[in-house]
Parts: sequence; structure tokens; C-alpha cells
Amino acid sequence: MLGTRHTDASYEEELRRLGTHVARMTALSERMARDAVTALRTRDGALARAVVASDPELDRLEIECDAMALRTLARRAPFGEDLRLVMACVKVVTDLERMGDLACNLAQRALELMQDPVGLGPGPEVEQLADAALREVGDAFAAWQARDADAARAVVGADRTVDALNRTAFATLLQLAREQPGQFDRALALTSICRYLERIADHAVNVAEQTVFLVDALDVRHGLSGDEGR
Amino acid sequence: MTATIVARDLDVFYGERQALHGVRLDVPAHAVLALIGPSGCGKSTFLRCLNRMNDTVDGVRVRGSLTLDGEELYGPDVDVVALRRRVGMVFQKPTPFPKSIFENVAFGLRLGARVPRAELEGRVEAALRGAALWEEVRDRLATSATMLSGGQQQRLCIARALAVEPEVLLLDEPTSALDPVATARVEALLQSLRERYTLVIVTHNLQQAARVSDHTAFFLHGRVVETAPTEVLFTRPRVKETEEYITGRFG
Repeated sequence: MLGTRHTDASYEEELRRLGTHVARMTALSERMARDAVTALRTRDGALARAVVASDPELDRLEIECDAMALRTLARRAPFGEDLRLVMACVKVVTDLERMGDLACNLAQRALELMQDPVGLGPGPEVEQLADAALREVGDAFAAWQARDADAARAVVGADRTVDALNRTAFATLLQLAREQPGQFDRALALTSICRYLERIADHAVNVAEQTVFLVDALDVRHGLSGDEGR
Repeated sequence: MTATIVARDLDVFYGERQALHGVRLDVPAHAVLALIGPSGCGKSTFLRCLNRMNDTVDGVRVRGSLTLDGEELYGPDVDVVALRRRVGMVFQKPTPFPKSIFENVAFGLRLGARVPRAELEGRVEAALRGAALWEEVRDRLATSATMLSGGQQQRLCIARALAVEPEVLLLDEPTSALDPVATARVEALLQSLRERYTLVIVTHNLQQAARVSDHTAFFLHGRVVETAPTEVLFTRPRVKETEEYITGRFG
């Protein structure tokens, strides 16, 4: 990444503001995902409802980021790293907004599970999946903020772990539903939660891939090495 | 036949001052090469080497190799007038002669040899068509060229250059004095000319370089820092200095 500032200070400020806006979205979407998982674990209804209530703010930030990016493209016709930054921001904010939606879904399933007076937790397999997915989110966002392509590549590689944990959790929940029909609704809600967690991690991988594109100008999506686009 | 230009270890001096340092650059045939870089970087000096316009500058000295289809441009036996017929040039400001539109285009043809009137008319028309100006001037060829708009004058200058059927066309900031509509017409023209000619354009307008060229060379302090397909140079340049220049983090 370039250390030098733009000759035009207002352009520098425009790109900085776009970056700050995306950073606000990463912070909010990560908090929503973490709070949704905490609400599930601790059966905290107020926290789950707070997650759902945060979503309009994330949507608003997405719209603002897109408008800022559009303005920059129209007015500045950026090149090189600046062009990659604007492109990457446009793509990343879509992932962040969807992560927010998935966190809301997760919070709503958690609220449904809280209706059950027995008060069973999500179980160790789902907990492990949640830990891995949230770790992936944290690592991906840290790599994006630090513009660290190597750390971003590590996130892309780590996604296999989340996929494997999701398969294990799903199999366990399927077995639970078969063996204990009384737990069917709970198992169904938890399989949905597993799917949300796995998709949240997928969006984190997308952010990591955009970080590699931004820093190294390589397209590593869909298993590409990056040289294909050269 | 369209020419290929190859520069190797090209140095140019204006008196004591060295303007180009060991330039190594290939100009591919049937393509538009854009030369970009800050003022004084050597891009216009390089352009003016290609048809030896620099010969007119006192104290100029050229060292190294610069070939057109394998022939040294600075060789001892080079006929500079013949070279300039092969390598035409269009300047920043339109420079029509105070003559009719027809005479402007016919001027270069008449310099070379006596051309029968019918052939002259055919070649003037072809050149004006080539410069996408024919439809606008066909009914007023006897009118003074100075009556044309700025954009039309620039396309007339391109027609004048094309009339002598060059292989290479050099353009030194050809649209910097034109409005956006006239600029768009000239840029569209460059795209069509690429099929028949090798084009080299110097421009300070990076968007223009990105729009019209197939390859771009970035000059800095008399050196070629980076040359690449235009799409690559403007999205993922290899060299930090190039990235700084195209993103406006420079000077």
C-alpha cells in the first residue's frame, strides 16, 4: 500500500471518509454477529432484540457507502489502488449488510429457542462452529483494516474448518431430531443457526478476498490463485 | 504496412542537460501507445525523436538505437524529409494553414511530387474521410480552413498528416485545446485509425490515455518507469512511482 498522500487533499479526505464508513460497517456487523451468538448462549432476549434493532443502521451505512463510492467514481475517475479501494468497498459493504441480516436471523431463532422453558443451550458442536465463525469474522475484518493481504489469505484458507464444523453440527442435530422427537423444533432452529453461522463466515471470506484484491491486485475468488486475472 | 518502432538505450541531450536516459521501449504496430508522465519527464522529447523533430533544437544530441522497421532513424543516410512522410505529426493546437480546406490537405502531396488533379482530389477525399471530416466539409472544400471549429481544424490537421499516407502518426496532446465533444470525436477517430496506422500519443489527461490507448508508457525524470497494456497499468501497476502518479500522489 502507498504511504504517500494524494496531492489533492480533498480527494484524500474523500477516500478516507469512504474507508471510515466501511470500518463503521465492519464494527457494527461484527458486533451484531457476536451479540447474536451471546444472546443464543446466555438466553438474553434483550440483547437479541438489540441485534435486530441495529439492522436499519447497517442498511443506512451501506446505502451511504454506495453513494460515496458512486460519487468518487463519477467525480474522480480513480486509478490503480484508489480504483481497487472503491471497487472493493462497493463489494465489501454488500457482504457486511448481508452479515447483519444473518445476525438478525440468528437473533430471531435465539428468541424462538428462549420460548422453550427447559432452557437447553445450543450444544457443544454449535458452540464450536460459532467460535470458529466469529474468529473468522474478526480475523477478516482485522486484515481488511490493516490492509494485510497475508492475514486475509489465512482467513480464506481457514474457512474449511468452519465448513467441517458445520457438517458435524448438522449431523449431530439431525441425529437429535431422529432420536428425540420432542427436540425436533429445537434441532430445526439450531440447524438454521448453523447455516447462518456458516454463511456469516463465507461473507467474512469474501471480505478477506477483497482485501487481497485491494492490496495485491489479485483476484483470489472461487479458488483462483490470482494469476488468472493478470 | 505499419511500422514497428524499437528504442534501445536511447539517450537525448539538450546541450549539457540529459533529457532521456537509456530509454527502452517497443511501439507495437496497429496499436495506440500513450506516453504519460509529469511535465519535463521526457515523453515529448521521445515523441519528437520518432520523426526527428528534435533536430531543429540547437545542441541536441542523440545516442543509442531507435529503429523503424529495423532501420536506424538516426543513421547517417536517413532522409529526414522522407522519414517525416512516414511518421506524421499532429500538434497540441490545431495549425491549419491560411488556405482552403482542400489546399491544407493537398499541401503535403504537392510537396512530394506533381500529382494529377483527379488523383489529388481522390487522395484529399480519402484523407478527409480517414479523419472523419469529409461529411462535414465536402460542400465547402474551397472555404478557408480557419473558418472551421477548433475540433474540425484538429481533424483537418490529422487529415493533412494522413494524406501523405504515413505509417506512424504522432500526436502531441492533440485534444488539450478542444471541448469535450470535439475531444470525443478525435478520440473516436484515433480508435478507427489504429486499424491502419501505428499511433503514439502524448497526453496529460490520464482518462484519455485510459480511453484511447492499447499500451501505456510512464515516463519520469527522462526514464521509462513502466510500460504495460493500458488496462493493466491503470488498475494494477507494478511500480510504486507509477501507482503514485496515476492516483495523484505525486508532485
